[in-house]
Amino acid sequence: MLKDQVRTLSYRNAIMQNPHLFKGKTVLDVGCGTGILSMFASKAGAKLVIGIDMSNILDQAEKIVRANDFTQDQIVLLKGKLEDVELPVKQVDIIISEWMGYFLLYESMLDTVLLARDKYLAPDGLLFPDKATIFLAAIEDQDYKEEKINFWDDVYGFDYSCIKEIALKEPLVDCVELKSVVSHPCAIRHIDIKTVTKEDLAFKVPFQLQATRNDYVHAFLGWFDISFSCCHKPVNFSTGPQAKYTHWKQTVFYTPETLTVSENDVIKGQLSCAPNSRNNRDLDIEIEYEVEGAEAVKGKMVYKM
Amino acid sequence: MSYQVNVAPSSASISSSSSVSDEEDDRLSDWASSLGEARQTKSLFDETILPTPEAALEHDANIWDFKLNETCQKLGLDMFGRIRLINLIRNAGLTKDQIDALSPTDQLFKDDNLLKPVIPDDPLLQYDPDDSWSDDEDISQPPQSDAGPSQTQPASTENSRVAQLEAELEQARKDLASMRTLISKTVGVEDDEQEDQSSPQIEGTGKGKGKAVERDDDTHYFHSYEENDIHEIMLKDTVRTVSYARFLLSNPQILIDAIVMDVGCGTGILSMLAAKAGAKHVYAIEASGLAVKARENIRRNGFADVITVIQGKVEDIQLPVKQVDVIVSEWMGYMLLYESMLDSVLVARDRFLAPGGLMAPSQTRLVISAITGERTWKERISFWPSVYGFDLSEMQGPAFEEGLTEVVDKEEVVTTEAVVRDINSHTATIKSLDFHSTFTLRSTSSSEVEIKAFLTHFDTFFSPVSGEVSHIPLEEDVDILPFGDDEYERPVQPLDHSDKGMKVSFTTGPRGKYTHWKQVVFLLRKPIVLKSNQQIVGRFFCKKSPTNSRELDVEIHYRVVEGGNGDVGEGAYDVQCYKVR
Repeated sequence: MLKDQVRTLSYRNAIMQNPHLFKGKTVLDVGCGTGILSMFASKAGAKLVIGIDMSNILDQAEKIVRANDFTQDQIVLLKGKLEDVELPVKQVDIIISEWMGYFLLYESMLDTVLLARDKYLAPDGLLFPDKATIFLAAIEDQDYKEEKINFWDDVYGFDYSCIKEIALKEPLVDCVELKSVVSHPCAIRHIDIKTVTKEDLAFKVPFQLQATRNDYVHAFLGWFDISFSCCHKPVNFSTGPQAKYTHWKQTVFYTPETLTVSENDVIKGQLSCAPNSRNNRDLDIEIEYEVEGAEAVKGKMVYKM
Repeated sequence: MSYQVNVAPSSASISSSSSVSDEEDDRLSDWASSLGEARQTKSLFDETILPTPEAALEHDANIWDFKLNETCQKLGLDMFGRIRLINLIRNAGLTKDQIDALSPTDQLFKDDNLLKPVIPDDPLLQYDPDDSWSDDEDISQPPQSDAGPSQTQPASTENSRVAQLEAELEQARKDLASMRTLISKTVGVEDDEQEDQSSPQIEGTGKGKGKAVERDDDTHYFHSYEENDIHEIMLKDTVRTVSYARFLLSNPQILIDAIVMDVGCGTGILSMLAAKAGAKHVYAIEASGLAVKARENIRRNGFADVITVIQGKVEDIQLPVKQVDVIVSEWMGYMLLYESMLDSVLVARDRFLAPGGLMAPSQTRLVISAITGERTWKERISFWPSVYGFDLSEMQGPAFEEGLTEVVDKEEVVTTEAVVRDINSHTATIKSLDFHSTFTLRSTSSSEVEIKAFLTHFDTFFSPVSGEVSHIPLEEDVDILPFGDDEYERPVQPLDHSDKGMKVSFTTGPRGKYTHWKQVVFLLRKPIVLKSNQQIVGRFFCKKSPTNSRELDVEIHYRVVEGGNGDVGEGAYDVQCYKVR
């Protein structure tokens, strides 16, 4: 993940180009991993950075921050769950966290960030990042759908269609070329980290995707943009097909049938997304869609991520 | 088979409670929901789903002339016997005639493995015509002992009948309780991953006896094969799948009319290939929940009569036949032995293979060489000392402590290869899979080279001849490119009867075509400088990890000696230890 330059450089710019925001402040780094964001924050002038992570990576992080000459007074690393660990301070001025998962919310740490926000963030405190937006578009993906989904129709001469049915329900995380996108993107959900609640993360939203050319649609494509809007000069990055590669790639939702669209046709529908009731790290996503006109199609697909 | 299994949480354990983890629950409920209602019951003899267990029994009576209750009565089966019988029919696909031939004294009516439901939550197992035990509430209540008045009475027929029924009920309670324990043991209970860091070891809950916590290296392992991705990767590995297909379909003299066992059948591909090649019957064994998908695949391809999918560990299962003629299995893991599936294949061989029967593959070799390792070094080592202006050298550590699964370009190999283990599937023992051996690697470069890593890969051979004679001598090399590249894409057709048989082999080494096994790189803390006339001598140690039997501990001892006369002389070895996981 450290090799994901878009990700790490965006955080570095957001933090290190804004020393006026960090100078003398207490910072909490939720899910600090190797400690890289904590070190950025300390370099940017933070009085104290508290990094917390429940994974064993913290043992390495401890050695790393000391090897880079940060003292215990500058960076404190705590191992454990946020719910269980006692912080050395009552309140922090800034929360930094790289919590995003695939399709923003899959296996994301946002729940924990919200917990930290509600428990520790000062009333006028800052969040890095503080805004996220989920997008949807329609894509032409004949070749890859052939390889990923229709592969199961004929496996060395055998019929594997029972696996195909399951494969269709599993969103695919992969890089999609911009030229495959056949509709305008549609922002379907905007999340303000400062105010969002855990309940808001289960949602049902309408979308309208207007075709940009005559083509076929094999799948919907999801991605997200991230913004550090409290910076002096806002820092943003996108994980969409138009942007530079990130390890989040994009998320492909194949439809059982192929939709035929003409330029300016609109695919209407709605998307619902909610944590799975049994395993809240999994996502249940449902997409309903409808194309009107000569090649009218109406469909609904339930995905499990 | 090859899948990088994350280390099972060290606290993963069997708790004595009968609760099932979320993940497990999911799986069961997914399955259940695919059937719709929980009461829906599958026929014992075909794929028909009936709305209730009663209806299923009626269906089986009408269509298949099989009356379960009558048979149970005739055999004098108790509740346990009945469950065993149902599971046996479901598992092994017994016909009515085979069932009629059963006798009450058959060993299988003592086999506890048959208490494992073949279909999770099978309503037929919960359905009892006499309904004397099936209700949970009965169980939780204290035994209704009314020792008082009734015992003062003379023992009338009626009273002794009551006493007998009570005794039966009590026995049924005990039986059910022990069955629950068994099932929860079989199913295994995993800790939630999230909690494995912080939560203390689960102790026996109030209800159960505080039982010693056993380590379970299997549950996590088998779960890891239940996702589609891994099977897609393996099936799309054409070197792997086409090699098996070539062998099975090109040796009719072996396969036609043979009884075949497929150990770890996964999606059922090898079983179907064997069936296509003319096998009389195939027993497809799969321990993971994937057995359900395999069954469905097999049914859709019209092989339901020829292939019987048995869900269970090959160590535990029973077959309706005494022995099999061929055991086929794709058991190879990273560095050949990672995940220890060969152990199970050898158990299957000892339990079920007929004398003179054939193992496919028949032979595998683990091979070591030395490489410049430039690319791996750059990614795993050079990257860390300066990351966005910080020194993260601490992150290098694991790269020196673990075998790294990577694709290595053949140009990076700068020495000869040496076989460190040559395994004949017909004769190998489980014990022999923990081993150490010596190796010598001569420089193949005309100039001095810096060696930053050792490399292992493995070669696989399929011989149409059984036993020791099948063994291919070390001098004989593996086929590097057995078929043209385009031939991998072409479907393989069975040869006709007249053919004498065909050997097949493939390599996972850098000289061959890409496979999903890739190679395993062992980075050296102290790179070796090797002159063109020098060689590396060493010892390669490999054993199952004491903390997880599916992982490997590898130790490489090595030093550089002058080449030529093979005189190793005296000298100190450098030693580096690795985990393969």
